[in-house]
Amino acid sequence: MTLPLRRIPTKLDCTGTKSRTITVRLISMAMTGFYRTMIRPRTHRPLSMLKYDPVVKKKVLFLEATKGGRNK
Amino acid sequence: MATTQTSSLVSKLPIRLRNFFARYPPQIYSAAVAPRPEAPETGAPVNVNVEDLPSPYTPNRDAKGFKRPDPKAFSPSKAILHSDSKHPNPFLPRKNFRTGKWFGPRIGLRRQAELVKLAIKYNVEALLPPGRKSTEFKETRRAERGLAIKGTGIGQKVKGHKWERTMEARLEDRRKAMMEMPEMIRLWKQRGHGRGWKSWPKR
Repeated sequence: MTLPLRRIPTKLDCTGTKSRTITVRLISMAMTGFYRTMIRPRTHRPLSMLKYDPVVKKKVLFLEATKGGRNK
Repeated sequence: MATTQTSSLVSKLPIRLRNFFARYPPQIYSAAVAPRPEAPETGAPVNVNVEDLPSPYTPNRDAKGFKRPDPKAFSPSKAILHSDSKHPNPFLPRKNFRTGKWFGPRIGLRRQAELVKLAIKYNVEALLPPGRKSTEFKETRRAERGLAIKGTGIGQKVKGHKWERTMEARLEDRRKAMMEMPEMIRLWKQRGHGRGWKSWPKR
């Protein structure tokens, strides 16, 4: 006789909801590997802004990066 | 005239060097009178038998390209260490060919070093017998060993760190990206500061 496998409860099970905001990474388009981490509402459109990149010492475009490379 | 000059020079030497030169006269023992070493001709073809080479699957150092120096191979630094069987070099060990026994050098390495330092100070190093402590030997050996550093041979590359190896490509990428940056920013502003942006980077 085998015992039925019991699923380990995760954090999501306890809270039941996703957080309203998410942390995102804005990558420098100067290809320096420099990035900034920001928080935005989950439902907001992806972030993009002009920011200073200390590697090239200039203001460059920073775009939000996601795991799949796909944004809304 | 020359004799008096020489004798006056000799009298200026410290007693230790004078005693040494009295016991081992430079005209017989010195490195200056030793025959110059000649490299053997390397024109002979080297026959390499494939079966003699170590298998790449054998976990030994030879298989990984490490070559142990052949003790019988010609080496310029070793060739400097000349010893005459009639007048054995006091700085070198000696083999008795009758009994096959080895004798250490008459003057050990510590005393050799002291003598060489003293001789350099009085500018008479060339009058000492050739030995392991001489400037010439050390320079020759350094030249020899210098070539033995991995990656500096013909057709070899020094591996270096990863950041060194990829530096050129990364800088090129950065340069290209910076060249296109004004155009990119113009487009980004035109498309409502990211509202109509399609190509988002991957994380």
